[in-house]
Amino acid sequence: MGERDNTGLAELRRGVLVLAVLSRLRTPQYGYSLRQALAEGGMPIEEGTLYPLLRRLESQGLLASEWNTEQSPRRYYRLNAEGERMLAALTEAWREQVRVMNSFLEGRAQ
Amino acid sequence: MNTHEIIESYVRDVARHLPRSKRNDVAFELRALLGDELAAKSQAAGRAPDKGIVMELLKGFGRPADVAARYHQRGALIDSADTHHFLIWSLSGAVTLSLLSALSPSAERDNGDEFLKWLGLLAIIFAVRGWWRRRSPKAMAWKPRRGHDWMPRGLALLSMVATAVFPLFVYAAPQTFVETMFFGRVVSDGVVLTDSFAQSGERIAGIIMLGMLVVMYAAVLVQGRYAPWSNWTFAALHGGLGLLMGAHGGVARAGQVFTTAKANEVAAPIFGVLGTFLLMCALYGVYQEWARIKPAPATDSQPK
Repeated sequence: MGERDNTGLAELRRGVLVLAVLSRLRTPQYGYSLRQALAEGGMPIEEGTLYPLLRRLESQGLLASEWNTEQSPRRYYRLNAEGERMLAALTEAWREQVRVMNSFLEGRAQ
Repeated sequence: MNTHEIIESYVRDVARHLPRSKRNDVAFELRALLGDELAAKSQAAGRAPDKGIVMELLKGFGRPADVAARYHQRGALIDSADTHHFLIWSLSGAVTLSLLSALSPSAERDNGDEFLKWLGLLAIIFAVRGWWRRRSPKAMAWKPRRGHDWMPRGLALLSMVATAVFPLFVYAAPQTFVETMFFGRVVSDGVVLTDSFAQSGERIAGIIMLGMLVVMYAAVLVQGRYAPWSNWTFAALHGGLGLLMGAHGGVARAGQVFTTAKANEVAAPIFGVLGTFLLMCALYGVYQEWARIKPAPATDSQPK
């Protein structure tokens, strides 16, 4: 894959990053475990992008977090009620986008 | 430095770019996350963490200031969209100061100091404007404007009358102007022109150019807008008058505009400032024509 292809893929992923993160936070995760989960699921995200994003989503009121300092200190994030609502809304929008894009790519839309 | 010290240094550098209220908490989390990442990288490399591994990790993470910006986006002091106008205004200040120095050489002015003050003032104005735009987007929302060519007829009439009454009258007959303005109650001997200046070609040229300016405003009054020819006339007349005022400043410094020394002393810097103002108007007119938007498809040699 060429550099231009990589740039296009990165932009495509950036657009769905929030939805991907929210979808993985129905169960509590700390930063590194979430990054691992996303990578194993086929969406590798740069650490320098993901960790600040978690903070931003929390400051937007979509996530709750708490420290667990029993072993290595780790901050666990999970969806709160507003995050659940946002996830549902984005999921619906995503499905609609997939339907539209499929119709574009298959040449059905006029 | 060992790996722990390198990570501590990095975390410190990220945190110091953040608001005070967030620094400690982000630093604590970032240190833990970097520890996790370092352990994973070492495991993948099959060796204990060393300087090479940690530096590669931090390089991938990004420059501390960039990472901090992802954690907390600060508003720019001058919005990137305003950079072009900031540079234009900065350059205008530099040109104005240069012209003032050239046309008012006797005035004591530290151009470097004045330019820094100008830049500071611009930075404050642009920063406040940007802040206000972010705070009240509706108040600063875009509004349609008439183009640079448009001039309300009332303003054109006012400009025509004002140019005829003030600069033309005062320039052509300063003594009569003072007597008329003050109903003959003020002694006008102080503004008597020397014979050499009164009959000079420069003064005749000035009167002609001011007269042409009045005619140009009359044309704008009729048309309700500047035409391309009147834009260029505006620039040419202001440029000519600006240079003329600069030259008059030199004549006044030599004591040869008015018959009294005091009048020459007072007039010399005024001519300089007036000349600078007029030249700035001329440059503005030229700039407006140069930057005029003429929508057209790009040619192959132009960037798209």
